[in-house]
Amino acid sequence: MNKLIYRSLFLLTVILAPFAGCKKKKDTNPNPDNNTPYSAMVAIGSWPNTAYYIIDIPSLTEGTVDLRGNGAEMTAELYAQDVLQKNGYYYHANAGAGMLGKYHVEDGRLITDQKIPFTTLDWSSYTWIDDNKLAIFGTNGDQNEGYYAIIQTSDMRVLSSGKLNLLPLPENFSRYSIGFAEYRDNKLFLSYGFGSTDWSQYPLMPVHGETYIAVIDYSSFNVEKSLKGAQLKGMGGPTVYAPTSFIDENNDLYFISDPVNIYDYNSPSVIGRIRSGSTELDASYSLDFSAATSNGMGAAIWYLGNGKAIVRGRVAGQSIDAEHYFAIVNVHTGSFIKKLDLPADMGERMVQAVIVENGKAHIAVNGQQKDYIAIYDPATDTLTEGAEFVGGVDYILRLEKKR
Amino acid sequence: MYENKGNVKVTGAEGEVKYSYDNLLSASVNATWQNTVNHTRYAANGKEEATYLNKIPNTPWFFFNTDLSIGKNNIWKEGTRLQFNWYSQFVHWFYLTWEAYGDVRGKAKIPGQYVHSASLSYSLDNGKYNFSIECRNLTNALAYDNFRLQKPGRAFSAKIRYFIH
Repeated sequence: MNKLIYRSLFLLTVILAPFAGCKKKKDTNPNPDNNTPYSAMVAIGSWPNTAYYIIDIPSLTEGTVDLRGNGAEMTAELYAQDVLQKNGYYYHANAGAGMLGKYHVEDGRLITDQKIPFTTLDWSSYTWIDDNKLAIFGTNGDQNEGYYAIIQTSDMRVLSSGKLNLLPLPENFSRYSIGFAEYRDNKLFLSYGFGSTDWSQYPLMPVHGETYIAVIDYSSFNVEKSLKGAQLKGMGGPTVYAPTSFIDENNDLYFISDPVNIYDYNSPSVIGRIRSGSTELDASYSLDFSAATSNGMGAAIWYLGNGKAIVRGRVAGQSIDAEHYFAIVNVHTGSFIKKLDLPADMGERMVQAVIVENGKAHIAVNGQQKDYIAIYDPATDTLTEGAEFVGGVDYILRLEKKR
Repeated sequence: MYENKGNVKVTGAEGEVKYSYDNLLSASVNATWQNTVNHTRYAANGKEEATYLNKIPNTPWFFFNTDLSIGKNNIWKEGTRLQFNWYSQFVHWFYLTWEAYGDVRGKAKIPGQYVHSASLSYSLDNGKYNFSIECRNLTNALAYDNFRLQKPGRAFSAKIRYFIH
């Protein structure tokens, strides 16, 4: 028997020998793949097997985008749709993990450049102060306080952060809902409203009748005033998913409201304006988007130039998970132009769906039959088909212009 | 975490082989191979699912277990048994997400694992008293239950068992 034990131990030693470990070499060359000017974030599979990918797009106007065997898988590192892109770098604040991260795509892989602890706020909106300064806004975990943070993205340093002195929560309302953010002439404009956290009342949630736009001094971050517009109900967002405002070539600020986003099923979706040099709402201006679209709602808006903007509209109803469409408006004249003749958009509720280049809108269409990029030229009022997503895509979540 | 898909087709094979010789030696091997494919064709919005006919991700598809034991009765005393067991578990690596999509260089995987364990036991009085020592994961190999959810490495334990009746 002793012999048998010794033989077993010898056998064990022989078996152990091949189990030498290997170490993966750490990546030390953070250069984003900027050889392609565009990228898209796409989703495959239904929950909980939903996987996200960032895939480079060489051209918006021609060719195919095929995720089979291509695209950087995000799932392990960055399982989120609210990812901001600038110059080929991607940014995401993960409130649950208390981290703020910077990423890029290289050789088909998503690389983490830097992650910093970040627990100041759960982000809702953002605006770029310059190429290297990102202003982000949101609430604390209980959503009963509003906060800001300024991030220097080159080294992911928090330059400043703090609580915003927004108007206090009214009685029976327990949370802030933060809408668009824009930076102009040393002022930050941040829309906000009040909501309830008593979800037992859903879908008939308490609706606060007023929505505000805070005018914040960029130097002191003091909220100088909160503007109130009679027709503004619910500012949409969170805009880390899709934009609901822009500043045009005249330095005028425009925004679109989405009342259903705050469970207001009666008020219209309107476009408002704050003129250049002013810190007051333009009381003489309003574009009623709902009136022109059978009570449709504006989920997102992008500026094309020369007064024209494209709105991702949502069909009437109480759900924000409904069919969408694209429509053209003239914000300068305050008029609705037309609904684009595109297939019904079966996409997600909030999509960074448009890249504007050379005055043309390049639109991500999540169609039932095919997913592709449609190109609308406002100069000629023509609609053409560009690059097509082939091989299967469940959702196009974001289109990005990297350079 | 499992997804309740409307329609999934599983094909596969399972097998087990056992051998024993007297009270001295016994060995067994069992293996499973399965191919779990999404057969849900349309999503709730009526659009065809991109993953139709794709292998369901994050699921082991090939694994086997082996068990070898060598023992002898009545060593030193009547009614005793000394036994050595060597058992191994193998799980082939698998993808965290849908295998058809994404650049293979950046795809997350749950690594393959091959875990060996051994135990030595000595029982007296026809099994009434039992003393054993065990080493799980002898090679201290990386092993996972789920993605980035590592199982313990090498572990030792000793056990004394006594049967009242």
